[in-house]
Amino acid sequence: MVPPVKDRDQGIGMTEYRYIGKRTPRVDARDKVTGKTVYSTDLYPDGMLRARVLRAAIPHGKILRLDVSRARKLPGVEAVLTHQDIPGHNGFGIVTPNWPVLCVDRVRYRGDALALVAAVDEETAEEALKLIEVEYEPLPIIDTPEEALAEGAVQIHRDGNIQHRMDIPPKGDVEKALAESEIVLSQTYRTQFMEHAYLETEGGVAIYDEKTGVITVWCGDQYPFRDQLQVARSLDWDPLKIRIIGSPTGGAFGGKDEISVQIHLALLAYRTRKPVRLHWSREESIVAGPKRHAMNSTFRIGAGKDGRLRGIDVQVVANTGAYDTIAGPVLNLALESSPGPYKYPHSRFRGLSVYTNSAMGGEFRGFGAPQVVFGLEQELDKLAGKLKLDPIELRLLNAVEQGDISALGHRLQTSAGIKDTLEAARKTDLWRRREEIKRDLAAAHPRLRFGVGVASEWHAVGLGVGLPDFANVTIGIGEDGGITLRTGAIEIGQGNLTAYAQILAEALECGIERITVIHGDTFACPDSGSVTASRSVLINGNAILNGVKKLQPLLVRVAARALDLPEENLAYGQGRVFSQIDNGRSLSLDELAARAAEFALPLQVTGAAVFATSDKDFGDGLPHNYYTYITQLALVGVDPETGEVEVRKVISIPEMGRAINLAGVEGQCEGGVVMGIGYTLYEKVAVEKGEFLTKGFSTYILPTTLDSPEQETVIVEKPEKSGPYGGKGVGEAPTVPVTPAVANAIHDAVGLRFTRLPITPEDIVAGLEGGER
Amino acid sequence: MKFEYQRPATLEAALKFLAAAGGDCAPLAGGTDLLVMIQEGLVGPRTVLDISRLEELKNIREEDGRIEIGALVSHGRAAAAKLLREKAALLVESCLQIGSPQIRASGTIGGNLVMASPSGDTIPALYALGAGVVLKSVTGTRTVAIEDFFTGVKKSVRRPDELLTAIVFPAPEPSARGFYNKLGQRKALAIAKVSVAALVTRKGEKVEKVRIALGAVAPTVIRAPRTEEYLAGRKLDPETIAAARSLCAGESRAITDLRSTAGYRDRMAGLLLARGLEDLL
Ligand SMILES: Cc1cc2nc3c(=O)[nH]c(=O)nc-3n(C[C@H](O)[C@H](O)[C@H](O)COP(=O)(O)OP(=O)(O)OC[C@H]3O[C@@H](n4cnc5c(N)ncnc54)[C@H](O)[C@@H]3O)c2cc1C
Repeated sequence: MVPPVKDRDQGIGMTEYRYIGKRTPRVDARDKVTGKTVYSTDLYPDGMLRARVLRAAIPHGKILRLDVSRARKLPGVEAVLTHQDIPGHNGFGIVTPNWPVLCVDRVRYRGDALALVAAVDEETAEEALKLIEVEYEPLPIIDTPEEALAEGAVQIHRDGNIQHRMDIPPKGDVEKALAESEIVLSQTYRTQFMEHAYLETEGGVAIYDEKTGVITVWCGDQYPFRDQLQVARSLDWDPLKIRIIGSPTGGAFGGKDEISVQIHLALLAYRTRKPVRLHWSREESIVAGPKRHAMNSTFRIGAGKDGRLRGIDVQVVANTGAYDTIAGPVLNLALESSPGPYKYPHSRFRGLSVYTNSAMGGEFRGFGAPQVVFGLEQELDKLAGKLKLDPIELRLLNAVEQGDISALGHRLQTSAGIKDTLEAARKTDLWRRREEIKRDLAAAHPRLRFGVGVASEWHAVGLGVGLPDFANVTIGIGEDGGITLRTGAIEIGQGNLTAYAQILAEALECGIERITVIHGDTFACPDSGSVTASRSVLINGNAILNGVKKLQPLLVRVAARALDLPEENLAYGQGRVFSQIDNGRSLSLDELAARAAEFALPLQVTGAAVFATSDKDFGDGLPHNYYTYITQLALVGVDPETGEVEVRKVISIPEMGRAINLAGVEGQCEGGVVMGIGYTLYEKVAVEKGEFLTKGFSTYILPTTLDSPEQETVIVEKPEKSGPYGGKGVGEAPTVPVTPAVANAIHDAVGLRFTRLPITPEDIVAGLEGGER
Repeated sequence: MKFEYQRPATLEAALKFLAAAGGDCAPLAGGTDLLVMIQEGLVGPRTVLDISRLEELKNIREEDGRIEIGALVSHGRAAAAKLLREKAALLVESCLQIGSPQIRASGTIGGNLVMASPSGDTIPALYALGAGVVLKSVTGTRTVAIEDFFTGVKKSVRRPDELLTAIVFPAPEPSARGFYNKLGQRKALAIAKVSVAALVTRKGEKVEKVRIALGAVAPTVIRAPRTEEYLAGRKLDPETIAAARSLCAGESRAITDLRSTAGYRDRMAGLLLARGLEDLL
């Protein structure tokens, strides 16, 4: 019997899948739950040294003298390094490497590194730090972009205080459109610095092998191959002799895409010729590592009485801190995200990213979107209110569809399901029965007022046009039939390894338990790009499918030899190679693997994929070609007397193409919602005059489970034909619209609008009093 | 972060050790504050004296109308104790407001008092109960009224050679009702931004006696004497409660810090009292 050749429409049709779209248990779950998983900071190699970093004692100043001689003499100290000990480029940065590895003559924020110590134990290293003498000449401290842009402000960098300026080419004539609009709204929204707060702070271990000349660094990471290059550049070392092992990582959320400990560890391991361990304290992680940028976003939006959006003008000013890292692209994505998934005939988007001596702005799940979507989606709610339109109706009226021209002017070439998510939102019990639900709750809780809010977002997937946006994988079948998939991608908790295994098992029509995924090691895996920008499932998935296309002919070749049949009479299917002529003789994967070994035919292929890009190029990665679309609903209870807000329920409705793993999508939504609620109601890295007031979790307030709502995820599928089985990505979007959804729900409950985050009980009480907050 | 570690087997041995150490010694009870302070370099004792296994300091009992709670009783144990649930429910409420289950399992009432934080959750409840603090050293035992125990933020009259061994208070009259209301920055693991405890004894319709304590609104937990005086002899009706609310807000002396603002805290001191009183109606 000849099996039907399986529908190769990559999931666009109604094919029934074995793994795709199922609730597949995570391949790494058992080891994580039982504590077997070894993270970089779990490593304690024999004879290792402990490293510490000397950080700036003031937020801004010239370094007049840096004397490490006393520290070097302390018994037990094996190395004290300064900028003079850096063989190569003294800087790192994903885009512009101007963040000093060790400062030379100036410090620009409290997290700046001046010297490294490696000693036999923590206490000695700590003691040595105290013996390092630094003399500073303080410079004026700049906390905000307003101060940095003021006349006569001290220049933080030689080229001034503007890190990046982006003006997207305007579409139409926005001034005219606003002048002619029947309704014009305008408002500025302000957001705070936010901390990633991963369970595992930045850390790792490095070992230098003198015999091979290889420096190995185990570290929390998101892109080992970029780290490899950054380490090599600073050490002036052959990149092929830098091995980065970054997987698994104990949470990253964008914060570990940039260098943290890697270069410092490599420098110390090379110098001391001993294993070295460096693990940032929580305070160091908060002070030195990158944060979600604080941004001010000003919106001017014009609409007709019919509710149709006419024009949007957005200006964003980002507080980027002392160095670049990836600030330009973050600002750009804020601009791209700011109009939302809606049509406007006229638009203009302008942004400035400004250096300060405050916290370091950097990459963070959402990547500029949470800051602006907080504003946009409240403006749309205001508009709906003015027009007495249902907020979902208003959004539906303006929502984009595949093939439309976006607010920015590019064509939406890939699946665009925002309308489907809005329709699904409208059908939820929470939305349909919201007045009744609020009434019942109010009857049961007489001290509280209840509100329901909605918000949506489109979230770019991939790095954007013009940037190297690829993945490579290798797939091999061993003699025993075991399948090894190798990807450079890092497991940061998001569940990507399971999605890869599902895609590979589905494509090969074999059991998932056959598959081992080797990941995140520059010496064992090919370069698959960064796990960032919600990109890793789409691009690694495509690379896997590409590899499978090459693997199947190899298997057919083995079968041809084994069965002594011509290749054209053989076909791959159901995890076997079948003969199509002599009544279905076939060989299983195990048999094929054994025969391949016998014939010395290696079953080993590479697969590669590159992101398809937009039809427009506005520069610096703008715009994108793929988006996750999402609508979220929030139900809140507000105590008008104490100002306390309880988020009681959130429903996330993502459209991510096809859901590769249902449990994975739900996990991303549930985690993203809690993170978004933290941003909305609790979290703020407070910095005043360059000094951090929140240095740990007793002052930096994260939501606990008791502060987390009941959640529901309603998955809307709109398979994208250029994604693996129709998948796109979902890592970031669920973090984003929950903030304005909660803000809109607060408005629904107590009639107040807030333009600043986090929204605190103090703000609400003051707002209800009618006073200034 | 280096220190000598001692774990005496008896209270007597502990007191002797403390006397000999001459001050540079930190008793370790649950460690939920001490270890954090050591880790953050806020204190650097030469010796850590682990008293956590001194069983004689873990009793809860009632004798001659007085309730005594050993200093090493954890918040979790206190909250589960039948005697306290029946006779000092407001203290139980305050213990349940502390940290998380893990913190409540290790943290002790004695440690909460010695920390002398104005936001310590058990303190307002113990003010309302009119507690005394028992301090012991090799030279003797003294009992200090809780209101005289604290002298400022993180300061108390405890001498370095003394251990806090117990908390004592008169068993409230069966008709007495109390409450502990707290606002923090989130629902659990939250340091009080403001808190109010009160114990109300009524005769018939009228308030006979009330003791009110406010947390996190002054350098130490404070009483609200004018509000207490106002309430005494009155019937708890909505007008009385409204008046008490504004009086109480006026007695709060809060400051603005990272966690909250002075104005909010003062206002909430009044509100939390009013809500507690309403709930007694
Ligand atoms: C995550 C976390 C959350 C917290 N949440 C709260 C909260 O919500 N509310 C709150 O009030 N507190 C909270 N705390 C603080 C702490 O848990 C409490 O204050 C607790 O009661 C301290 O008791 P302990 O036994 O752990 O004290 P320890 O840490 O052992 O000691 C604290 C101090 O008292 C001294 N000491 C202890 N016992 C004695 C004694 N018998 N005689 C003399 N000196 C003594 C110690 O030397 C030390 O100086 C929290 C702490 C943490 C880490």
